[in-house]
Amino acid sequence: MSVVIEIQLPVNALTQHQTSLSVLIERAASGDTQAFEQIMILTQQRVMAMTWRMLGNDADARDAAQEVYLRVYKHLGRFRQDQDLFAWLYRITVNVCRDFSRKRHNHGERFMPMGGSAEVEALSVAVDEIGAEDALLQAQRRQLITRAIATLPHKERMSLILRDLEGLATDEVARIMKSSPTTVRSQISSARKKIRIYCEQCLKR
Amino acid sequence: MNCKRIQELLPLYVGGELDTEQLQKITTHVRSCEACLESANAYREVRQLIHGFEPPTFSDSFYAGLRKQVLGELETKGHSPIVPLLAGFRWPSVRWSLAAALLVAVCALAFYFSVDRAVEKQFVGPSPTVVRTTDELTSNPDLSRLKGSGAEKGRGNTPPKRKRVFGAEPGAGKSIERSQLRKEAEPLERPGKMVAGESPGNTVTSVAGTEDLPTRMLRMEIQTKDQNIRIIWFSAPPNNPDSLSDSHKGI
Repeated sequence: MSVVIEIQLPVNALTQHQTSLSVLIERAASGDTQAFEQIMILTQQRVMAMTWRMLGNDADARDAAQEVYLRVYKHLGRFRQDQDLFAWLYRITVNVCRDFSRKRHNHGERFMPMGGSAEVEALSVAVDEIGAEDALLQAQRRQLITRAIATLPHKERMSLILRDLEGLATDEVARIMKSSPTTVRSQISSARKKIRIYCEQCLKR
Repeated sequence: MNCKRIQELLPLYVGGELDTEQLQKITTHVRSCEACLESANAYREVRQLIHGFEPPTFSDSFYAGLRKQVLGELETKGHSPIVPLLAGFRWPSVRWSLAAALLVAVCALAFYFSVDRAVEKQFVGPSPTVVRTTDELTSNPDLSRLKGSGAEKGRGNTPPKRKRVFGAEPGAGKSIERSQLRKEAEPLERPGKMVAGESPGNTVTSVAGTEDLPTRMLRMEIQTKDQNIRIIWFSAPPNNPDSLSDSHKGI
């Protein structure tokens, strides 16, 4: 005897989501701050993750995310309904993070990895769940990759994050970076080589 | 493909960014080359390591604070979304294009008005008017040729258009005003009488028709300084010179 379980997925889930999003954008563009807050709720995690990966610490990531939303609100009128909202958000985020990096560079600072209460919190949770040894190993690996990414030039870091961590296609990355797919592939290749070399040198020590 | 070339492509190979042909070639090579296989595995580990570069989990209160800050900023600074039309002005290319268009428009207007003024000046000067009758036309073959060119083709009633002459000296011609025409129209009623004026450059000739023509026509000729440009127009002479008909409005 066999039991067949049929799960009916909502067919138009994606379309409905897009429609609601476009309605929210339209309302926000006409000055409705509540609609804009809804957009923020839908996108905040991605934006924060992106800014944190690009800038490497909580405080800068938060400031950058704030600036991203201010720019988004300011330029909502320019957003076309046929555009992908997240691609548009990524482009703004990339620009904001580039500006932050420049400012930091002018002040003699570089990518500042780690630190912050959230990091400590995440580590303490991990220690309880997985065990001390695994948690330590994971923390070391994380520190290693964070430092390795910190050594990358800004454009290579952006391309790598968008491709490997945000999971975008090379063409999409190229559009966001206002570059060509060949250039993006070259940047990604270079970034992976540099990270490999960095990790090998660290493990040899 | 040799090992060197393979090593160059391995970072993209592990990420699946190569085309099918390159992918197959490298897969075949890696199976047979131990050094390249080791290198490929190293890049796979690097990719796994990169995937571990995850941000910490931010709490709901953190996000609520962020939203509050953004909305507070929007209220205090009074940001408003830019409408698409105005947004265009923020792009440097649009700004430069508009500035260039404005400059060209201003130059064109300046040129137009300066030329117009020059023409006005050019036609204001000592009277160069020469009024000739058709008798004179018949005696002068050159003038009679001119007479035959327009009047007999029935274009006499066409209101004349003002013609601009570029490059002539100022004061070389004369603009024909309505009041002047009234003065000049009187001699035209009497055939054979000629009123002439000297002109250093342009000559304006007005010829009145007589009874031997099918209709009495007023023929106006303006000879510009340039021998190749002569303005001729025809119109019916006014019955009463003091009250000009509509056909003379263009003069």
